[in-house]
Amino acid sequence: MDDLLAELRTWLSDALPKWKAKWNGDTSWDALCDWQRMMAEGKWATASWPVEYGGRGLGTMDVLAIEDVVAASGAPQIPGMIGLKNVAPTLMKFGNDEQRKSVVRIGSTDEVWCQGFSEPGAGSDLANVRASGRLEGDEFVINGQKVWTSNGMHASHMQLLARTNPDAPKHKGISAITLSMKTPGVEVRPIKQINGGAEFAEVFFTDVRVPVANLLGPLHEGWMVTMTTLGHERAGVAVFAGRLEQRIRGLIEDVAKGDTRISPVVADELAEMYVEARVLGAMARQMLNKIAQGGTPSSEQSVIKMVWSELSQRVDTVVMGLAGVEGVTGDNHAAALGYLSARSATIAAGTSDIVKNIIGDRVLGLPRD
Amino acid sequence: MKNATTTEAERAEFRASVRDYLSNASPETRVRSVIDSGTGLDESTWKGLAADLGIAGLLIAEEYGGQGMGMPEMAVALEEAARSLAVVPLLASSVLSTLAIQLSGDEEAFKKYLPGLADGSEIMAFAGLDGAGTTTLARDETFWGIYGTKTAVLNANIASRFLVVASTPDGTGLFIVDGSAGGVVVNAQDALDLTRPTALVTFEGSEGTRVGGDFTDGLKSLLSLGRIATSAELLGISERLMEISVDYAKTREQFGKPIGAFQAIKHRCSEMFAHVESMRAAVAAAALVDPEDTAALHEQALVVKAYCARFAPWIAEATIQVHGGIGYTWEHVAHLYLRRVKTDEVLFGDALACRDELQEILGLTA
Ligand SMILES: Cc1cc2nc3c(=O)[nH]c(=O)nc-3n(C[C@H](O)[C@H](O)[C@H](O)COP(=O)(O)OP(=O)(O)OC[C@H]3O[C@@H](n4cnc5c(N)ncnc54)[C@H](O)[C@@H]3O)c2cc1C
Repeated sequence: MDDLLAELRTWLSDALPKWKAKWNGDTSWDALCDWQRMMAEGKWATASWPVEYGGRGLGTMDVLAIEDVVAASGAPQIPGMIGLKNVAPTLMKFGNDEQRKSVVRIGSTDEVWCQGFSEPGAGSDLANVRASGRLEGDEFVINGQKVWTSNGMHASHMQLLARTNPDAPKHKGISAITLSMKTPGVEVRPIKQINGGAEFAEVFFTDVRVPVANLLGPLHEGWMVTMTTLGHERAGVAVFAGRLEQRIRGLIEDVAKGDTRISPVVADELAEMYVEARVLGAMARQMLNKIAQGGTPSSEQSVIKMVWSELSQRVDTVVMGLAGVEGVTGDNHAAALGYLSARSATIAAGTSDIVKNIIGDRVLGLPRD
Repeated sequence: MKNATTTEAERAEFRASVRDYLSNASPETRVRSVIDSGTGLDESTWKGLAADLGIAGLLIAEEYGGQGMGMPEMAVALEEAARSLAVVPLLASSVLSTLAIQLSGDEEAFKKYLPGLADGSEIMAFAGLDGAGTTTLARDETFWGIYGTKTAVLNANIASRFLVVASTPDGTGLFIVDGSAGGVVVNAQDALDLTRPTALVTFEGSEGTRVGGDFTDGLKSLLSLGRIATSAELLGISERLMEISVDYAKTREQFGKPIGAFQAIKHRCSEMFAHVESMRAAVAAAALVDPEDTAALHEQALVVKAYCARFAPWIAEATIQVHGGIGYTWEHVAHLYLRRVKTDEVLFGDALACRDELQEILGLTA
């Protein structure tokens, strides 16, 4: 592992300045994609992928170590995370020859993928998807609407969930289908978020025809395929937790060093957050250790997701509070942006209420309502 | 005391054997009959734990008759003992008194006292907390004379000796005072925790044997280990309370369905689970800190106690809430746990006190 990280540091010390010189402070989508392309060529962005897909075939712990080094180097965010972490592993597992060709292009950002799961009527109740994929001859005819599609505005392709059997029970009649966003009948509209950005979009489908070959995994088994996708980033939540712990440590160091007087109440709030961050960090490390030893974490994921989302929201609330009036005058834009953006932590990828339902139903075996 | 000498799998096995033993030796009926007897000690369970399972000597080196283990193993024992509510002096004698002697570094004292503690034949109590507004003093007369009052002395009524922290002309000292020494007065307190009596112990010029030299650092480490130990108890109890609540939520029906189907109850149970898992991670991390690394020990102990002392009471209160009226009865076990939880919460500092110290470490105090 040490050799690997040394190789990475050498690579970064060469690549990062080159990228910075080329883009000169520009952090546009194109600039970020260029960075991902370099990271994929170096086989760093794709380190977890098998060698035949241009990866290094590394395990979770090595990949996390790589991500830590990359993050510490001040490198920009990788834009195609959904493709790298969720879609590509699903394509490798369920895709046919043609679909698997996309994997390499996902690494290089020649293709940018989004996940079209949620709909206006299917959010927490995801199995309620209504977008229809009617089988006509050797084509699916897709009609309906997707919403909250992250990367929707930049995406070239989508992994879509559509109802292919309207007569089957909820979870049984859904299929996963891949398609190009340029297919006639696909219309993408940006959705402006509370933080002013437009990272997600809504996508409309009107008589969109795609070949049956675009089916991903078995027919009507889209629910299973999707759950596998969502399960791929098992370690992801632990990584978020570790970063949050670091962030809270950093925030407290800054406050301690700064010369703004804080009230005893705020000092206690910070100490309370510190305690929770340390406990969350311990939980995350223990989960990663379990993975490193070949174990499969189960309920830890849900617990860490729940604790992480609430604590990360709280940090931004405290930062906003520390900013005082500057938080609302635009003088401390970062604090306000952080605060607004943090609202999504308890909504995206399963709301906190739903996570509590999952723990209650599946972990504790409580009766469903 | 050592750092972890066992693997996680070995500790799981150890846990299973302790749980198995205690579920037979100390079921709730037994706990209640010992409470009613007023003795404050379940002698046969203590014998079994100490002599048969070797738990009293877990933290003691093999050369003194112990098991040569460390906090990771003792944390398991504390969790299990607390979960069973067994009326035994595990914390007072096998953890606090045992560690106090070891932290003194006094080899003479090791030889003299550890073997009796290791097999449980001798029970000692740790008298560390001065009574309100008082300071316990040790005066160098023809012998060390101890003067002062200690409060909340756990299991004082069954202790043959007391480990007393006292101020000496040259700093903090640790002393052993015989229970039968002149001037020792043990007054039972009306302890909230029915499974672990406390007493106000007064020393009126009682003869003490000094153990080791300056005990300032020793005391700091002892307090840290006490925080980890009480956190382990809080974890063991919280886990049990969560199980009891979940079981009840599955069986108690209202409005035609089990109450666990209602989200107000379900989510309370899920939050209990999340806190228990968090406590488990925190206790494991703290128990694994190298006790020689005193700064890390101090900090990690504050973190774990600040967390457990905050959420274990919440879980105990939520348990009563989930049970409704029955949870408010003397017959239900919930209050026995709540009483222990509230006691462990304040021993060695509650959440607020721990955060106060953390603020200092973090540089947040002006
Ligand atoms: C930043 C962001 C990015 C996203 N990216 C994507 C993406 O790329 N692709 C995609 O498909 N989706 C995406 N989503 C959608 C996301 O998965 C959904 O928003 C989420 O699952 C909640 O669904 P909903 O918005 O319909 O809310 P609803 O399900 O309508 O929930 C509204 C409220 O009701 C509560 N609620 C609902 N059901 C229950 C219940 N059974 N018990 C208790 N409370 C309940 C919820 O907790 C919530 O508080 C994204 C969302 C966000 C915020």
